[in-house]
Amino acid sequence: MMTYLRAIRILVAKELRDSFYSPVVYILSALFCLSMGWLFFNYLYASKELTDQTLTQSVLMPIFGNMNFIFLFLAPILTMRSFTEERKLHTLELLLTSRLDHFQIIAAKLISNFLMAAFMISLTFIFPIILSMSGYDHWSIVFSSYAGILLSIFCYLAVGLFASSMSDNFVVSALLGFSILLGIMLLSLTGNATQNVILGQMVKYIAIPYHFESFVTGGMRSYNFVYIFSFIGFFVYLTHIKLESRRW
Amino acid sequence: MTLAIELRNVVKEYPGVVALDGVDLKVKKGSIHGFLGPNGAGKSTTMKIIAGLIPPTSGEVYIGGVDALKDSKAVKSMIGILPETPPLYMNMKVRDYLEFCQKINTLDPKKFGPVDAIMQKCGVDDVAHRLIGNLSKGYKQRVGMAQAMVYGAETIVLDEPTVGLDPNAISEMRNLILELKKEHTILLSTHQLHEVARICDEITIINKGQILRTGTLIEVQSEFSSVKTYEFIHEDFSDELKKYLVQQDYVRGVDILHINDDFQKRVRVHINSDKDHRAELLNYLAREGKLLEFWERKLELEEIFKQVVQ
Repeated sequence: MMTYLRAIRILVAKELRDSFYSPVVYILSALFCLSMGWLFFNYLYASKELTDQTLTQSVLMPIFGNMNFIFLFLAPILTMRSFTEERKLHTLELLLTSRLDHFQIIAAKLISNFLMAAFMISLTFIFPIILSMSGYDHWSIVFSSYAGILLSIFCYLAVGLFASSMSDNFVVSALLGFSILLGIMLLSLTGNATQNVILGQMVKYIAIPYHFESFVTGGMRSYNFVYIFSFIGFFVYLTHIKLESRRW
Repeated sequence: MTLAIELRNVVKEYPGVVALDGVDLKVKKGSIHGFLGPNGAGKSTTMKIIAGLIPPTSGEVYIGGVDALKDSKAVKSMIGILPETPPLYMNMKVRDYLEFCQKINTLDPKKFGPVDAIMQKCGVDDVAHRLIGNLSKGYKQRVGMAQAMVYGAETIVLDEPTVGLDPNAISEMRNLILELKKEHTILLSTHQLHEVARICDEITIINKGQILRTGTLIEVQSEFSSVKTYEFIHEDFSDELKKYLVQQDYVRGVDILHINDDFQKRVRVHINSDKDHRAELLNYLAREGKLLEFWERKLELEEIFKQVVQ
């Protein structure tokens, strides 16, 4: 087991070094900080007018909602290089002929991308600190919201990784990942539109935002975790099948 | 005879295409084995099967006596492959890259060792701290070679390692392969037939997924020697002399290749029979004028290759 995890760690370290040596992560982080900072300022400013709402409702919830939406675009950009570049450089053969198995390769790429996304999210820790200066102390909501956004991003990255395994072109990989995520997001709207309550609930359950909202409102249940881990597992399995198809 | 690689009746089918059709291949331990064939003959497919990248549809694959299809993990550390395009991370330094390759192929910290010896052996120690992307093609090829050996693989599979290299780099690569022979078994696929003739102990020719010839170069050459060819330089080679030779029942043909001056002629005689007619021929030629030189012409590998794959 230790050897299995050590193999993943070796590849994660290499992936992270590659990512942090590349300007992409810094450019994305800067854009993310800029947009989130601007949104935070606006929500905070507007919260003065909304006297009937708490800071959680007027600032925190919309900020995390926007963060989730922005990562819908950022996650496929973060993952687009993962397998596409390996194929371009013919280094996928190096990994496939090594002692790493498919799941180790996929796990390492997923974890390294997640750590990059977590780095970007960590730049927003300043927001609750600023809120605490005005007496905000609902830390349990802050923690569950961060847990929710990180798990939600994990799902996006699993989709992005699968999209990256499908194409030899960065742009196509990113677009494919974004399209799949947008499709899943739209299920949420479809659920709202239907008159059939049971069908509406079923469709909404399939969409990520439904589960993300549970975290942001502090009402997460065990089925939220079951959904998220099943979703990640499903796309990891699809990526594995795509890698396996090279042998067919 | 200890075998480093053994393929028994290996078949590889893709939908609608039979890429390998009952391939039997034996590579002796400690040898350099040339693997020849035209483009699309099945060389790369065979090498991918040996390296464990793709499984055969049927057949058996043994690496160092271990069944590669049953115990693929054990076999992975026994074999190193340098594909046609070296698998290099352009943004990594040579030393970091080799250390990474060593780690993912051993996974055991006890086996993580200094890569200096390999770098020195492959002649990349002077660029150890440079980015791979900034190196010349020759150096990149050497780094690719080093990655195939860095985790102690006994058998090295080289898929066209000299493609795109300049003559100096080809010569350096040849010396490196010969140097590696001391400690490794090498399966070498290349289109540089004269290189194969110079460095390989044995050769295998494959075409359309089938092995056509295999053995030492001399064995393969002798298979094509039912028609012997002699060449000689004669100072008084006349039309009468030619007519006489052609009339002999054991002579298949006579070609005048090159005329040095008015008198000296270089002549090639193709002999049909299995019997040795050299004495007879020499006696006659010496009697009819000045015979300056006489030798048996061995078939070049290139000619054998052309004949075999036709």
